[in-house]
Amino acid sequence: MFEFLTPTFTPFQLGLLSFPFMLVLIAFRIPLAAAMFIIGLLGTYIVSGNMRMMDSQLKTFTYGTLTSYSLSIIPLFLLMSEFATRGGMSSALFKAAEAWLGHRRGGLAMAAIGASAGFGAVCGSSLATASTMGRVALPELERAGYSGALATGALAAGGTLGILIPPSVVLVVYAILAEENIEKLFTAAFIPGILAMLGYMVTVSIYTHLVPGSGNALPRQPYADRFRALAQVWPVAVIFGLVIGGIYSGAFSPTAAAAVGVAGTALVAWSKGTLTIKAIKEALLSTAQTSAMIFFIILAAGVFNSFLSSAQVPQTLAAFFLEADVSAWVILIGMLILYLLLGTVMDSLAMIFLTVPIFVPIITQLDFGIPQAEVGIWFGILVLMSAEIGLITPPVGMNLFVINAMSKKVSIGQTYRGALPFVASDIVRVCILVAFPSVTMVLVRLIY
Amino acid sequence: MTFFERTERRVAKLSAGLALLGGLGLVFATIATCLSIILKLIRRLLDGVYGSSVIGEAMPWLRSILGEEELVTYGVGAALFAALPWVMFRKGHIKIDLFEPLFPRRFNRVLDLLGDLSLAVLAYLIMTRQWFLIFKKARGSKEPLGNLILQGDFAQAADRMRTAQETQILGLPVWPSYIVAEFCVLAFFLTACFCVWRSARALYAPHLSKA
Repeated sequence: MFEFLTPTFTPFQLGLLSFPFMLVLIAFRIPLAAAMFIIGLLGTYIVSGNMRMMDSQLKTFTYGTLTSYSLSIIPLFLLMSEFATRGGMSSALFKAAEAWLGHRRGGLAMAAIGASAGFGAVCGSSLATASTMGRVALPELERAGYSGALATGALAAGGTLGILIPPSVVLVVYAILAEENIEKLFTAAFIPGILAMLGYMVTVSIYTHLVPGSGNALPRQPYADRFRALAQVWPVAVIFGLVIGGIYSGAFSPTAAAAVGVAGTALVAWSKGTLTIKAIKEALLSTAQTSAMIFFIILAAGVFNSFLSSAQVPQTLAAFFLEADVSAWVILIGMLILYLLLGTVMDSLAMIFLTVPIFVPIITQLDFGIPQAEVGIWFGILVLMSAEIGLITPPVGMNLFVINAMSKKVSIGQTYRGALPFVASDIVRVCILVAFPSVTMVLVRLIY
Repeated sequence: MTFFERTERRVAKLSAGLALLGGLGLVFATIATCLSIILKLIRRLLDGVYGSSVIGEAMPWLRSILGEEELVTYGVGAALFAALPWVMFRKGHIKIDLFEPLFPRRFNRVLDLLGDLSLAVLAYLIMTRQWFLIFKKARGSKEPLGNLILQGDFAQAADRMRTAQETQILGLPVWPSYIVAEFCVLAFFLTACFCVWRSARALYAPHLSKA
């Protein structure tokens, strides 16, 4: 059927051509997984002239992917996030952060960000963090008279801390695609995650100084009350300590740590009386939906990537960039700008699935003045940070939609404006991480 | 209630029920892991107090669960396979809806139909390829279990169950998991067929459908 193509184009050209075709399918609202799957199958058929390779791959591929121990971590982290959102930890976190920060100008917005960071420590999903913290903090911010732009912008930005602070589902997906070590990635994400939180708080502070009246200070709370509020967040600290401490110390595998996290968050939800049969059902169904969605894309990405490598696309591109007289830094910055642009219209997971298999072979060949083994880890954190910006960039930013939908008073335009200062803070942070790879790598070097 | 609504209700029940059943696999994986870790910790604690040889003799069962990773793998694997129909029914697959507001309403319905159709084709493809795990004979290997049962050769089939491929640590037979997987993919395919019907109906009889 497609024989006329093979004499005209080399496999590499066909591989490159598949991208515009796929983008058209995606733009025409074909599910991402289906688009990658179909283009991958067709591409392999055209390049190899028959279906034998795909046929034999498909026989065991689905089963092999869905029953893989290292991939089991994804549904477990998702279930952990589900239980965490039902465990009432978000309000305890917000109260504690409010007690410590509320008396500053814009303090309540800072508290929302701090609480989001705390919640991100037990939740690996950005949307879950945004919606959970939004439900708790948005009414409080509105009651305290915060401007709609600041309140929704801060909460949307705070939500991204859910994936920036380990555990993080997106980082797991990157680890799978780039074949990197998940423990090291979680370790590397820690300092940049903290930087993100501090950066957002500084942004709030600057914003409230520039726009007077956007965020009022609340009465100062005595230290006794502050410590009492802080003591209430011990379950979060314990679960984070067990999960991340367990992974860092090597006491258990990341998958086992995720299972421990599920048990921990379930226990907390149970002790609060929110773990009803109905809640468990909802949590399981929601986990089923998200994890099956992710795994179907992993399958599709596997088919598509095997087509790309049979067409020699990543190898040829990597060789091209290696020989081209272009600075490694220019290539890196070009990629990050591409993420920033794609992020305005695309889902972060979709972006990662589409780009990482091509970008990582290129990046890991280049010289950035750090050990070659570290480049993949460092790049992973940069990808995570850049992809996460997409969640709060207009016009398509999932966190903006989630938070905006919760408020009756704030228009989407106000939310867009409110998010922009945080986007600026994100860009500054990515620049710092690009310029100083050691900021990301220092913990990895210390621990491993 | 129309035939469509009755079918919709049945598909919803089937996919949600299957997803919940599979969800128990996640719960099982969690419990197995935690139990294993707790047993290991207690063992280490007692070893520290009484010495490892004493505990090893008195309570040999007190150690991390053998093949914990395999249990987790199969629990989670069951959950994932069982979730495939549910995500299909709930329209949970990521789409980039950037241009949706720009397209005419009817064109969007056509695209919905194409999207569901493409997933149904993929489900069919996976189902028929994966069939091989149970029924098709691979080059140079023995007659698969499913064929033996179909041929009525139960003695051979029973023999095959005893000698079939086993998991590495626990030595559990693998074939039941193939059957579970294939059943789930079959449910996925049927749900996808229903979704094609659902979006075709939305296209041709928009006044009848809710969305």
